[in-house]
Amino acid sequence: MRSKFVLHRFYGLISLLFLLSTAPLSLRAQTQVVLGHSAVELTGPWKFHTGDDMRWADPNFDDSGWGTMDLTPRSGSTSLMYGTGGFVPGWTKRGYPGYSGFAWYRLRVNIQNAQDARAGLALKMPAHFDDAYQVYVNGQRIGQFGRFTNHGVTFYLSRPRTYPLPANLRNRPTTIAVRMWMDAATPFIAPDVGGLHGPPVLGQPSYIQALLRLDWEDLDRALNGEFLLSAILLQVLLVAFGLYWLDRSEHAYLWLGLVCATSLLYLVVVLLGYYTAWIGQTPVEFLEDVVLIPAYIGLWVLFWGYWFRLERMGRLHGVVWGLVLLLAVGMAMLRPPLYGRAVPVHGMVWLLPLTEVFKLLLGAMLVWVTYRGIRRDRTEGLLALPAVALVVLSLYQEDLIVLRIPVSFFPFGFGINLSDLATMLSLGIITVLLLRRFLQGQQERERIRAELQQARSVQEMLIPQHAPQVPGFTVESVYLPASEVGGDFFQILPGDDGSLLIVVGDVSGKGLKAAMTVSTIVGALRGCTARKPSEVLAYLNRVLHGQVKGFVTCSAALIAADGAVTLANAGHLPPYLNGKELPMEGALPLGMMDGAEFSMMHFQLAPADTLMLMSDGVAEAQDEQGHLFGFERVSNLLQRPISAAEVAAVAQNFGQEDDISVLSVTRTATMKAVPA
Amino acid sequence: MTTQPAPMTRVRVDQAKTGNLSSLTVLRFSGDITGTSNDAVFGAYRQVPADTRKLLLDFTKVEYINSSGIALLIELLMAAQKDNRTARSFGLSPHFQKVFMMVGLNQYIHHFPDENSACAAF
Repeated sequence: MRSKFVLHRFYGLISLLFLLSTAPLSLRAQTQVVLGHSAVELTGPWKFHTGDDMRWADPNFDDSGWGTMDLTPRSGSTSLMYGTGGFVPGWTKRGYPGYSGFAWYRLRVNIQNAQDARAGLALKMPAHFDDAYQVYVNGQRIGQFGRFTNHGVTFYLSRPRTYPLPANLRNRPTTIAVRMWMDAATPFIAPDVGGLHGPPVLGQPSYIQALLRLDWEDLDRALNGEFLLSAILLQVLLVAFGLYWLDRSEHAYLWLGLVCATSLLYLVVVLLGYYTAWIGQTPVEFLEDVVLIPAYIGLWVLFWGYWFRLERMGRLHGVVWGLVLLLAVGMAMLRPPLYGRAVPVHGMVWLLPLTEVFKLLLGAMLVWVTYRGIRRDRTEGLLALPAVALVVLSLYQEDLIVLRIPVSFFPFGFGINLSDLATMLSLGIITVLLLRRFLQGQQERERIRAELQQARSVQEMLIPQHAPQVPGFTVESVYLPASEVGGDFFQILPGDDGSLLIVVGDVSGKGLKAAMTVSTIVGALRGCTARKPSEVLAYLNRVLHGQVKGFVTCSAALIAADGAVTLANAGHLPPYLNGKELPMEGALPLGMMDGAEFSMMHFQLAPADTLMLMSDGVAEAQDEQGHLFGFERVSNLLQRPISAAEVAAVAQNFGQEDDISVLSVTRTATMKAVPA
Repeated sequence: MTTQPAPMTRVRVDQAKTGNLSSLTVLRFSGDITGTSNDAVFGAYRQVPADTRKLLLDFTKVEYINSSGIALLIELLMAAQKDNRTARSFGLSPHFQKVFMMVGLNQYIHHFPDENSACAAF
C-alpha cells in the first residue's frame, strides 16, 4: 500500500517471433510465427487465513477450512491513496477490519502446456502490498521482501520483485503460499490496507522481467511529481535563503527556506525509501511522521506569522512548538516501534483522535495567523490567501484519504497527488509574493537611503566641513561618521574679541536618532549667547535634559586671542595639549541630571601649542579581534606632531566602530586680547 | 566590513557577604554592555531584593561597553542612589575605569581591583 506506482494489469503477453528468411529466389518466402509464450495472473481465488504457522507452507496442508481471497481487480477499482487502477482492496476492507500481523495466502496451480520445459518459470509479486512477505513454492521458500527474524519484521516501502521458481514444476500440481505481515500502524494510512493489492503473475522469466520493467516504469511515472516538486523546492529554498542573505531583516525568507528544507528532506527520505533498501520502513515512518511532518506543519504556521509580520512571535513560537511536540509524541505512539509493543493496539481508540486534534489545532493556528494577517494588512493578507489555502490542502491530504476522497491522479500519464500539486501551486504564488515583497523592500531601502543622504546633507551644513580661518589660530577638523549620519558634533564659533569658542561632543548611540540630537544641539548652540564654557554646557544640559534618551558628552573651550584657555567638560574625553592629556575632573554627561554644574579649568596656549580634542570613536576603535585602540595608543600617537586627519585615519584604519571626530587648534601668532 | 554581532549581555544576580558579614547583592555582568542591554541590566536590577542596601557590580567578564552602555550604567547607578543603595564595582579594565572616571561615575560608585577588596570596603 505504501508503494505509489501503478499496478499494471496484465492480461497475458503474446509474443510474435518473426523469422524472415532469405530464401532462394526460386522458393516462396515464408514467415514462421510461434504463439503461446505467456504469463498468467494468479487471481485465485486464493485461500486465506490470518495468523501464522510455518506448516501452512507445506503443500500437503489441508486448507479447505480457510476463507478465500479473490485477487481479481474489479473494473474501475482504484487506490484511494495513489489513484492507480487495477487495485485490489486489502483484507481490512474484505472481512478483516483492523487486523494486522501475519496472514497467509495459498493457491494450488497446475502448470501445463509449457512450450519450453527447460526455460524455467518465474513469479512476479504485485508492486502493492502491506507490508512484507515470504513466498513459498511447494514448501520451499523462493524469496521474501522485508527481513523476518525472531525479533520481528523489518519492512520497506513496497517495490516490484520477481523470483525464479524451482525447476520441474511443469505438468504437476504446485502450491504457492505467501506469508504476509502487516504492521499494526499501517491501517492508519488508508482504509483499504492489508496483504496483496494485486495478483502475483506466473510466467516465463523473459516475460516476467518485461513486466518487472513495466512496474518500475510505473513507479518512475508515479514519482515524477516528487522529482518535480523536489526541483521546485530546491529552487524556492535557494531563492528564500538568497533573499534572506540580502535582507536579514525579513525573517519570513529564512522560515520559508526552512519549510522548503524540511519538505525536501522528506522527499529525499521518500525517494530513498522507494529506490533503495538503505533504511527500513520503521525509521522512514518515524522520520517522516514523527519528526518531519509535525515540524513541517509548524514551520508553515511560523512562516506565515513572519510573513504577515504579526506581533508577539515569541508567543506564537511557544504555542506552535508546543503543539508540534504533542503531535510528534502522539505520532510516535502510533508508529512502529512503539505502537503494538510499548503502546497497546487498543490505545489507538484515544490516541488517534488526540493526535488528529493536535494536527487540526496546528491547522487552526494557520487559519488564525491568516486571519490576523488579513486584519493587519488586508491587501497583503488577501493576496496570500490562495497560497495559504493550498498549503492547508497539502498538509491535510491524508485526512482526505480517510474521508475516502481520491488524492492521486495520472493526468497525461504523469503521476501527481493533491498534496504535491497544492504545494507546487502555493510555492509558485509564494515565490511571486516573495519577489514582490523583496522589490518593495528594495524600494523602501532606497527611500531610506535617500532620506539618510538628505540628513547627511543637512548635517554637513550644520557641522563645518572646513574649519574657519581665525586670525592667530590654525584650526583643523575631521569628521568621519560611522554611518550616513553621525552622533559626533563640533562647532567653532569665533568671537568679536578675537576669541574662539570650540564645542565638541558625542551623542550616545549612532545613526539618524543621534543625528537628530546633534541637530538640536547645534541649533541650541547657535542661539546661545553665553561664551563662558561652564555656562554653555549648563545651557545645553537644560536643553537636553528630559529630551534625549541616553546622554551627550561635551567639551567646551574658550580660547582668548592671547591664548588664555578656559575649559569645561561634561564626560567628554579630556583634550590633549601638545600630546599630553589634560587632567580633568570627571563630570556627568549632558542630559543626565537637571541643574548640573560644570567646573572649569584654565591654562595658557603658548604660540605653536596645539590643543587636540577628539571623540571616543578614536580610543574605542576596534580591530577584527575586538581589541580596543585604547587611550595608551592615543597617547603614543600624539607623542609626535600629527594632524587631526592623521589621527582620525589611524583610528579608522584600526577598525572604526563609532563616529570619529578630531579637532585641533594651534596657536600661530601672538595676539593681544581685545577688551570686551 | 562585516561586523560581528555583539555578545549578548547576561547578568547573574548573586548574594554575598560584606567584610562585616552583612549581606549584599552582586550583579555579575558578562558579554558587551550596549544600548540593547537595557532589559538584561534593569531586569537584573529588578531582581535585587528590596531590602538590599549594598550593591556590587562585577565587570570581570565584560569585554566592551559602548556609550549607550555607559548611559545605561549611569541610569542604573542613579536608580540605585535613589533607592538608597551603595554601589561598588570591580573587574573593570583600565580603559573602562578611565571612561567611568571621565563620565563622572566615580561620584556614584567606587571601583576596586577584586571582589574581596570590594566586599571588605562596604
